Amino acid sequence: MTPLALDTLRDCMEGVVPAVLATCDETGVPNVSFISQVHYVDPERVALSYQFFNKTRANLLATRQASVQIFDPVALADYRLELDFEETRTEGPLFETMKAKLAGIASHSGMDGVFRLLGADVFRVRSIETIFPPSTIPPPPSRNLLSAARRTSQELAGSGSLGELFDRVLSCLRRHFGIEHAMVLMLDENGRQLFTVASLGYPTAGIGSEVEVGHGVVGVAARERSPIRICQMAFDYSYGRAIRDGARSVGVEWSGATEIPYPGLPAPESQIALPILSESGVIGVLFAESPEPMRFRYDDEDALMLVADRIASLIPLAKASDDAPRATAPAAPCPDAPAGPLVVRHYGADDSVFLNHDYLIKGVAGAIVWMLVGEFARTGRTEFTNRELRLDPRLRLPEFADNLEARLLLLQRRLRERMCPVRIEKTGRGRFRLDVPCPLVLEEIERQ
Amino acid sequence: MTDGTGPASPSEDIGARRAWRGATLADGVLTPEIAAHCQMGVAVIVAACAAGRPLAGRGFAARIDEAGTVRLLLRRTGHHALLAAWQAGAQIAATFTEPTRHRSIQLKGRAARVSPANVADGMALEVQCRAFRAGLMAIKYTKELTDHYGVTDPDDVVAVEFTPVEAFVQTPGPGAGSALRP
Repeated sequence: MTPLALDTLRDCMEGVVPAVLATCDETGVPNVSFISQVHYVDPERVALSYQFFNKTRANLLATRQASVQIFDPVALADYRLELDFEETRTEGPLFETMKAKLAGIASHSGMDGVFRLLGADVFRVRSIETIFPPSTIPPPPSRNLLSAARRTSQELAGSGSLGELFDRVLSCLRRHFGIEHAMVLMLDENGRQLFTVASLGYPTAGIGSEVEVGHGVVGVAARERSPIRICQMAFDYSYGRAIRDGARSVGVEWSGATEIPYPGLPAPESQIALPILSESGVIGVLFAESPEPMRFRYDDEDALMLVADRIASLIPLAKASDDAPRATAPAAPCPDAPAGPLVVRHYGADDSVFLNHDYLIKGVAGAIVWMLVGEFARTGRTEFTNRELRLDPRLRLPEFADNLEARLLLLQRRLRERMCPVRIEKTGRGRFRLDVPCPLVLEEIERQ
Repeated sequence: MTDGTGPASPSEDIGARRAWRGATLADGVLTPEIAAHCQMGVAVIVAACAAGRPLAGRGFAARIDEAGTVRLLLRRTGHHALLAAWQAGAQIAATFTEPTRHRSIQLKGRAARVSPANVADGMALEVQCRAFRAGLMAIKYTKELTDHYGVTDPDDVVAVEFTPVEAFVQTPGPGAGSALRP
């Protein structure tokens, strides 16, 4: 009989049914307890959640052996794994992945505050024994994830711009993966915040909403450069909470005045965040969520990570296309041009920009829009280049940061989403145009 | 001892055992209340040590007589190595966990005897599995999962009898793993 492969048993390791963990002390006295989490690490390893210093822990340190019985809640089958203890990890991607998952399990089982991950105990799997074979034939999966990943990969090729690439990603997630709610976020110039550049399935697009690196599933995925997945939603990791905590942790009272509302689901049950990684590190995060529990499993994580890797490889090409010459569209008359002048107010303290007292954007994107309307007011100029933005000392762009295209995309979409009469349109190789269909009144509020 | 709502905590069992003044079973290892917990329809998980390595297993139910002897009911299938170890004199660990409140008690002892299950065992298994399934429904397990629990060929069920020598509280939280002593 072909030996069982660990990666075909991953349904047992989603935390639906607690596993049984047996250990022995040096004199052969056994100990048995439930274990919250058996996590698939690689084809030869699993990790167990270390939550308390107890007899199990003492036995593991003394004998370095364990036996785990896992249950497949779909096929209704039982397996026993014979394990050799290798090491305990108390930080890094595996630890954070398990910590997020444990928070979900704790929340689901009413054990918030009791279950706390002290470490990820990594074991090599010596043998896998079938105790009871599958007693039911699981229903066929609703989609073939490998095929979905392949079709997505093909459809993303040849995206003509960053905006088109991200729009295609979300369209593919919806059509090929059946995902109804998703976002693409890019890392800011300082590597501290991620900002939303594209979204799918929310009443408001939330373009420009920010998540602090290290907070929520999105922020932790970025910090650890590793996928983070929660199948049973935990309060600790909710995106809305992450944003509010982020505001507090930088000493800002949560007022919402200069925050773009977070567009996420009010009560998600499943979330997955996948880092978009370049050679130099994380550049963004692909995020999806669902009101349904257990929506994203190990196989979804694998397939979506292929998509995130594909996005990473296509971003440089899409940026190059952004710079390619193209036919210049004539300045279209703006349908929603206001009758009177548009008041543009800029606060130097945080580069926030308000249009007729409505918040538009802040930070680097705010500085860019203020610089553009200022130049227009002084000179009447409407044509600009990416290069001059990079070199403009007022924008204080970090020398080597290369996400200006993502910032411009954010600004372009934010203006459109706000139904703002002022628009930014790309016109050619590293060029864009500011469309201003109405008189502007500029108000500068200096930094105190 | 408990009001049956909210998660249990180890300190409840530690305090209750210290305060117990009534009759006991198994030479003071079990109070009637602990024995009742183990027979009320809880998750039963077991372990043995064979050739120096641990082995994990799952049981269905337990019966405890007035002497405090525990009669664990489990499938023979999938547990051959554990049964062989116990018959050869290996020690046994069994943990009894209430699904809704996570109250968990571990008993340790030396396995005395492995025997086929009798009619009274069959009745106990039926009653306890039914109660356990109600607990699983309460914590929102799917119907497929719940219905699957306890379904077995009666001829495959065996009984493992042992006298507990020590009881521990395994409920998650501070104090978990403490021995339950007067």
